[in-house]
Amino acid sequence: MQLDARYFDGTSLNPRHVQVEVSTDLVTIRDSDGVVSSHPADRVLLMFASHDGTRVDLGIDGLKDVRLMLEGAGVRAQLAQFLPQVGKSIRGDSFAAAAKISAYLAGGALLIALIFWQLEKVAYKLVPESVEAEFGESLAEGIVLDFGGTCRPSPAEDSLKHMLARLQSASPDYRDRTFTLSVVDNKMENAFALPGGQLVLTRGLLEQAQSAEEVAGVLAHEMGHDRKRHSMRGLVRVVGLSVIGTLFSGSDVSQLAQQMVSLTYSRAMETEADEEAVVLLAAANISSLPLAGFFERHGGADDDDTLTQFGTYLSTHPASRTRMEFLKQSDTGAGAPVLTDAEWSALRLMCDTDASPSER
Amino acid sequence: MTENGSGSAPENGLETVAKAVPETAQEYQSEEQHTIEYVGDAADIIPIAIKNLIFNILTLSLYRFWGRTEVRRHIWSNIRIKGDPLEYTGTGGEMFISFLVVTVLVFFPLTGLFFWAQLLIEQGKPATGGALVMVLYIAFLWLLGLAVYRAQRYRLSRTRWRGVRGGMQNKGYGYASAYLGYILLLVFTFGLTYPFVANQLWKMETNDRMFGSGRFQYNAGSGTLYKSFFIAFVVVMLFGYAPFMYVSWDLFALEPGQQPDPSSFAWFFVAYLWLLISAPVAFAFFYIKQLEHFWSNMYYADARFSFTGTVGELIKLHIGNFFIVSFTFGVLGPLAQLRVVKFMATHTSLTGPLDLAAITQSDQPEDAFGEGLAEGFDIGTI
Repeated sequence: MQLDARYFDGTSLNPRHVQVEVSTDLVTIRDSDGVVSSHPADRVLLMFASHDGTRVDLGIDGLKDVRLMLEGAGVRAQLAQFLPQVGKSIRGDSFAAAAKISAYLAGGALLIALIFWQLEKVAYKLVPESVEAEFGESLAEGIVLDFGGTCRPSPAEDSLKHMLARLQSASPDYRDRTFTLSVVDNKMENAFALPGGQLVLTRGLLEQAQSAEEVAGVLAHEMGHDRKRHSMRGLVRVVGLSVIGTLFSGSDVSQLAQQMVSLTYSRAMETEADEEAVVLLAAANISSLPLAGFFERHGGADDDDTLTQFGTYLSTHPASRTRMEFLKQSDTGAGAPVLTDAEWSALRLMCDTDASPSER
Repeated sequence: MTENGSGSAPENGLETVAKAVPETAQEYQSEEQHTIEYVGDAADIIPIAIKNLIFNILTLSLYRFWGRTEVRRHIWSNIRIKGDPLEYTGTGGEMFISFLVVTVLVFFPLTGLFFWAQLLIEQGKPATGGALVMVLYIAFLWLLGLAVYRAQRYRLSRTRWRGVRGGMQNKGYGYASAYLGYILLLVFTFGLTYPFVANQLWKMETNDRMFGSGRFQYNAGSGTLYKSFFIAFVVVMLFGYAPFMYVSWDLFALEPGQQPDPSSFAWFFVAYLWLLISAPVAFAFFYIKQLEHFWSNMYYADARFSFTGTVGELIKLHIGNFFIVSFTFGVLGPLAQLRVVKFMATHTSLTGPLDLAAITQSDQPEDAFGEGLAEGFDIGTI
């Protein structure tokens, strides 16, 4: 079959008028002077085709600058008889190609997730303890300030140190660890374990606690977090997740995914810290019931309400019925009281330096 | 003879016409029109946009590189210059790779440095940390300029017409430095130097632009743009911003805990809405002047571009796009992009002598890098 065409090869933007001889295995381009070039049929590429099939632009695989432009009624169908690729859609243009790419990408994303999931379990262990300690110290400095600074030094602080010492000496897992305990002047009831044995309690927690055993329970829980290096692990995870998150735009999707992942992890970590606390409290002869009571006061009672349950599920400190039951069942009973009544009432008010106990 | 004499007036007239013809013909030769048009239905892109949505969801947005490539291929192929379509030859794969490379080599280190700077500040070294943050902001601005340039360079190098492709003459480092300087100038002059800055950047971009061996040129100043810029500025200040400030004054003056009057709330929203509508409209009068100025003073080889769009059409275009994008939550974003391209192609023409035979393939290297940097900065490109 012979067709008229315009020919371009990058040496000019003016067309050369040529004849194209098309067969099933060869495409030969001729002008008035003779053969311009000739190409195997399977190297011919479809670069453009009009909707009505009256215009087709062809390229040659490996010769980026060459274009053959053919026009005429039914020219695409005519060419397709000899060059089947001309009848198909332009390369990469089809639904099937998109589906294939998507499948690869989804598979790749899954692979990244799996690798991350495994790496996350060990990556934090690569951080040397000395670095973690130094980092925790500077982090604690900032956070203590954010929470209103430490309470003024008070003799009652010694009772906290005794509490810590009793817990530490009860288990060889904790004996050699260096803990730094700070009480911050903040009304919120909270406690957290920062990297490198930095434990922080709030004034609100001391004031609202029902007993010294409850404070000891919270302390044991935070020490459990520390032993498992949860905050370092959390940090590594957050960094890792945000690194992966940058690949996925449409921030809503990736942020939601990140949040879900980190919440799942934080639930697992809380459970792990509870397990640690139970063992530690038992070793120190302290009941774990007061700790259960502490969590109960913080949302556990609402568990029957499905909506609230979903709400607490998504909160960072989930208080589930299972957790509480675990704490209650694991209780091994109490030995000597953690503090005397006098010590306890002094401790509760250790941040309240201006007020005398009678005012409360 | 007598007839000739008496009828000299009309004949003279004819003579003048006859004499004028060759001149005009020659003028027509040099005033040759090189048609630029957009063909096809804008709605043809909707199936592509919906397909992209589906695959973006399936791949948590990773498909976006391939989706964008298909949108471009579609839009490019509907632009016809002298009847022949533009061809987009970029691939999703190269965009994806370039994005990955830039993320790992540029964005991760920068994020790490930011983190370090914050740590320094937390650790009680605010001077060192603060200085580092400043340096990083400067670096970000510089990279933003580079991203703008590189994105254009990439798209031009992937645009072919009659087998010949475009390019930019430089790598964009000079442009990035100028961009940084001009943005700082803009900040320090409270935006009042905008026409100058925009003009300078357009000049730098345009004079670097090439298609094949032919160069683009732009040498106009920004002087003529100031009038419409200041008119728009003053109009917005007087009729948009001043009423807004007046109405919201009561709200700002409220004591903490004091309940605002419901009617002053209502007025606040009316004034806010009015500001949101009136400011873009006022600046549209400037923007259309700027488009006209930028395009009508641009040359390709010896041919000159011109732009004929009106402010009404520009406002219509953007109001339409606003509804298209917001009512479909961005799904039909490609349609909005297409409408901008269509608007430009429809209103732009190229006139004058153009020795097509002398224009050969570009000697600029075909950019190996895609638009990773632009993607990282989330620059809204087509």
